[in-house]
Amino acid sequence: MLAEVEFVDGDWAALRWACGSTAALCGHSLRRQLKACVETSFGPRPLQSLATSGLAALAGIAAATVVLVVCALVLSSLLQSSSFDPSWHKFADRLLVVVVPESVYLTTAAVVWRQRRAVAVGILMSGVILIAHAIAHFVAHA
Amino acid sequence: MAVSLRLSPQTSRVLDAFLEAPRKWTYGYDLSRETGLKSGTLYPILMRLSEEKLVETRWEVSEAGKPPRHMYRLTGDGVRWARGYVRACTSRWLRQPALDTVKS
Repeated sequence: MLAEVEFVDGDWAALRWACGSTAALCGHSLRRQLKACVETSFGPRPLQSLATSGLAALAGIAAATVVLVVCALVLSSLLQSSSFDPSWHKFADRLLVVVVPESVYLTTAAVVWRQRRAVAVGILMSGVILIAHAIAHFVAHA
Repeated sequence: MAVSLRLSPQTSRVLDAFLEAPRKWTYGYDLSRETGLKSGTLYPILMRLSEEKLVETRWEVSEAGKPPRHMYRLTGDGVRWARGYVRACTSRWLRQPALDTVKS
């Protein structure tokens, strides 16, 4: 299409032709790249994979709630225990509220990634919610 | 034949231009002059038609010093599909009120 420039009458018309052709080429190659990227990430049926990811994300959120409740219960029982050293409060808090749940999510996503990528994406999506929770936690307890 | 192409006046103009001489090879620039479409509109249409195997392409061997030009023409399936497509477009636009009628 850019070879046609040689045959276009007039310099400005040729310039406009070249610009239009370049835009068409860029658009086409971007669309192909995007399609290839979606197919690589979600397989040949992206809508089905997105639905799987969505369901996995919902399941992940439910699991995150359970994990966080368990961690919060462990933390509160630790704080109430007479043998617990109060100087360890901050460390226990970060360990149980941030490090443990995030590690569980990252490990699960890494394990599932090879077999069920869509599910792993969903798990990571719910992991993002945990990260947001962690940030909110740090801001509130700074 | 399942073809997923948008019904657009521009695509219809390109197909009309092809259908004037269905088996003749045409340059992109000639198509642009015939249809009045700019390269940024024409080439995406040609690419989509080519992806759907409705248009075939070849490189023209040109004289020394000039770059080779790409040529286009409808395939056999393309000719059949284009005739149906143009008919469908024409009947669809005939059913719609013309823009100047709406304005008045």
